Amino acid sequence: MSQVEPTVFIVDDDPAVLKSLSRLLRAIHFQVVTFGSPQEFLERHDPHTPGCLVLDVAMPGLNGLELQEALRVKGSAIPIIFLTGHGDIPMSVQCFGFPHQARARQRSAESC
Amino acid sequence: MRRWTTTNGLFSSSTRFVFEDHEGNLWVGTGGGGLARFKPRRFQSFGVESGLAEAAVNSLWPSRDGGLWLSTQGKGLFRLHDGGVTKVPLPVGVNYAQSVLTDRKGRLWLGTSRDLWVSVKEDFRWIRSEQLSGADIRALFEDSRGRIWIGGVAIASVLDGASLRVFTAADGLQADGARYFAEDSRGVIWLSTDNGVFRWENDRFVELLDNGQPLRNITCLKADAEGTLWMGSRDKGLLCWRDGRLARIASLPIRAVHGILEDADGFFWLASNRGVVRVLAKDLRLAAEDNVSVLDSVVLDLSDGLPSVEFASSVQPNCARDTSGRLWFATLKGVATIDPSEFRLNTNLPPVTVEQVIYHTTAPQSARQPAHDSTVQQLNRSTTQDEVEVSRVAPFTEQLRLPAGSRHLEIHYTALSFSAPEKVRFQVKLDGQDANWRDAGDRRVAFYDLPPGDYVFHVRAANNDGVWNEIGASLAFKVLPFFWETWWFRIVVGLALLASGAAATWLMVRARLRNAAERERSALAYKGAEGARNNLAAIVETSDDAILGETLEGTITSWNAGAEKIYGYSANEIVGQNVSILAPPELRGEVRGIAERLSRGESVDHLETKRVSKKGMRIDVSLTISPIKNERGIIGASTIARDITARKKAEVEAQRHRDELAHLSRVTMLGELSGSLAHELNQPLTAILSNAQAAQRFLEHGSVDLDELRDILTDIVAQDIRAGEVIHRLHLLLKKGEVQQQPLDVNNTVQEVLKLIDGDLVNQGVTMHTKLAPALPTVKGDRVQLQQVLLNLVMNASDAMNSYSSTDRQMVVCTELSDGEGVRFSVSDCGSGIAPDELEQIFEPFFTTKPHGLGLGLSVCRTIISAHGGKLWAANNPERGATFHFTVPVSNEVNE
Repeated sequence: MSQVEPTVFIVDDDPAVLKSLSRLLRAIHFQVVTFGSPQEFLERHDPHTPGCLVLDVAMPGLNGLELQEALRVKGSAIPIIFLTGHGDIPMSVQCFGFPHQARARQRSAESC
Repeated sequence: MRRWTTTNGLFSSSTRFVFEDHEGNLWVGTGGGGLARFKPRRFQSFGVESGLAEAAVNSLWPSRDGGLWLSTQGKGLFRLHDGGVTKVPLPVGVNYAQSVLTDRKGRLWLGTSRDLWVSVKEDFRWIRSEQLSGADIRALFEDSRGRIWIGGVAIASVLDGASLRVFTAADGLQADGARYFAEDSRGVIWLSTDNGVFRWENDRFVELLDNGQPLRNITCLKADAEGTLWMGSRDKGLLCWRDGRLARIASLPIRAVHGILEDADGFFWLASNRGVVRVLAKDLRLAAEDNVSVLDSVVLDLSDGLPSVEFASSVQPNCARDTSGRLWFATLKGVATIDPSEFRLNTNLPPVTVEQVIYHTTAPQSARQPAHDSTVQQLNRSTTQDEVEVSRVAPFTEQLRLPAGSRHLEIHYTALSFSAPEKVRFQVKLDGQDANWRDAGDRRVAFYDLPPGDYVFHVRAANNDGVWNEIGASLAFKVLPFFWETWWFRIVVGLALLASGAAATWLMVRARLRNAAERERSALAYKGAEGARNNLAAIVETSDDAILGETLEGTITSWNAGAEKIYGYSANEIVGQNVSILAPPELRGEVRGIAERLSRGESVDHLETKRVSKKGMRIDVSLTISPIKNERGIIGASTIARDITARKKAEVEAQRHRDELAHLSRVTMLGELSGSLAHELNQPLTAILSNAQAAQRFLEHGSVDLDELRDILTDIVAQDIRAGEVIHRLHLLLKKGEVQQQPLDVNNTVQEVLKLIDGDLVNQGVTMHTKLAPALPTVKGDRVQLQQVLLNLVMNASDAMNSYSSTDRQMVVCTELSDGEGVRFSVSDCGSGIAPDELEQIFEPFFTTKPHGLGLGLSVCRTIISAHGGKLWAANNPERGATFHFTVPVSNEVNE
């Protein structure tokens, strides 16, 4: 993983969503790497690769917010874009509560 | 000045009128948005909407600057100040505190599940106590001498100046730690542990024993100025220890007490399972002495602005009174506060009124028509053949006279109190029947079989704060006698009996007045008596049941008046015809079967079937047919047929109600699931959208890779089908279909439910395990209803664990073959289990432990499972949590 080109990392437990998002980002010429679970990301991700993380909030096992916390503990400052179908105020507070340039994007029919 | 618009919940921003009622409620009529009510709230609350990261508050304590420290379940420490919430830095590696306290030196203390921390200058430079390293700390308390008492799981200690003393068995304490501390006015320290309550005296702990028994399940303590120790219990409400004696305050309507505060005016404020209870301490002392049965107390709950009636428990401090006298309570939905000096009882006496009287009467025609009375609403709404329901509404200008034979009397009343109508209480008394007032529910009361006479009905009501309108309302009425209930008739009959000297007359009169079943019995008793033959004939003739005789070939030989009434044929028309004329064409085979059984000497007992009347109407009947024998053998048969059409109709109606309730409960449940369902739909929709947008981009750039495009379309089709399936599953559960009993694949049924709720479980951090036995036989049942039961149990199990950390939220769904019972389904959780006395209670309607629950879910589930011929029950697991089991009989049919 020695590319200099920034990469978009996508973590989503739903294979169909993962594939389609990766396809969309490739269509607009991004370098994309996909992960089926937060655990897989933590194991395989090289913190020195520049890029940003697109993260589903609701996942079984470790959820998106917990991955964010785990990254913080590891000292990673990767920017995170959260995807959620049902974001609420406490969740947003938690997303923004950390010194990241985090952005939550409502994944709902009307905003798309 | 504050502004309310549709964003605050108003239905429309255009206002037509504003009205303040006698209880201070503000009613606002809006343009096009209906009527809205602003209700004065007694509690103010701060929760996630105020910026708390997590609604469940563990512990709270006033800060010295007039604010409040509060620690939330798993999500950090906060400071509440001037109505705003700020997050406070915790020690590195600590996510949350279990207990928080400031002492008079200004030190801020934190107890966590592993350590005790202190910030000496409230500057969040945290110092860890080495000596208490690893201790699970849940209680912090400062006494009047400035000592800090520290308790938790298997730890009890005190910090006096700079020296920390950890108590051991040598100090008189068991190894079970300390959970709650209190100090009385003489400086004596009391503490409760998991297994007992102790007093610290002469450098030693002395246990309080009630008749030699330790005091268990104590959740909190409060020592008052008079040397009395008050204890909150997990299951016995409030207890009192005074002069070495224990008393239970049984007259408070509460089961669990989690915290006790006292205000400046001598009132106790108890955080209980029903809400916050306000009661005068002086009254409690009196109640402890001579167990008076009524205590003036006010229960404040959700209707008073309390965010939840589930309080932080087994943690100290979980409630507090600050220097201004304001009271604070930690709940699962934020922190609630009230200023006791501003608390006012609702002293508006609720006006009480009797609204309506309904009675059922079997009176003869003449008595049914009180035509002079203009308030009669409905007449001749026939309930059964001979019964008529009559309804009269207020105003009742003259004395109500109920006709003879009014068996069932129902009185509807109400009281106008809009602050919290559900908390209005009623008591009723019927002069002539009740000596004292008795509690009555539901704005209606019924009386059955009132003997003739004069009555006065009284009703009184108390508003939401338990203030009674003692005058209430009354209604006088008279129940008129039948002619045979009058004194003159009894005398006439008595004289007739004396004159004739024959009991037969009396028997005839009595038999005519009694029901058919009794008639049959008396008929049997007189069978052998030669002289009673005429009486018997008379009884047969007057029976409401059809009684007919027939030959072995089925030719009808006798036919009573009851038979004429039920079937419509007169004796002349039918005697000599074959009984098969009474059976519908498709049941002629049944008639032949009966004839065969009769010829073998067997009888038919209460066979429920259908017959057809002269006019061609279908009638539901219950048949009892017995062979008639003489010395030569069986010569014929007698048939007793009872018309059960009305009962059958009522049964069908009851079944329809059950199905509607099941449907309603299903819709409610799916409403709760809507978040999860939105997620299930959003996944394929997101995939479809991203795929389609990707294709658009590819086309724009002109770089069309046909293989890629083909793959995109394949994915779109697959995801569309997936979305369709979600909607289809939802539709099946929501629709109000006919209940269909059919053979069902057990594991398939379970898996469909798990697919539906999967998103919700992921959101709640629940890990699902399934143990589905392979090769199970099919069960007989309605797929939708069984899935409803499963869904309900899985959702309950998930709710039961939401106060535990996500690693502990484990659920197991299991199917297995169970001998003699069919297939057994089980849903196990790792929550806190069910109190033993509630294991059965939870299935009763309107029993709920959830603040917004209707309490119908489990009762509907039990109805469904019973209707399937199975059983539904709950049991606590040996280690943790509860398991709900239900069985469904195996289908006898081979797989379809």
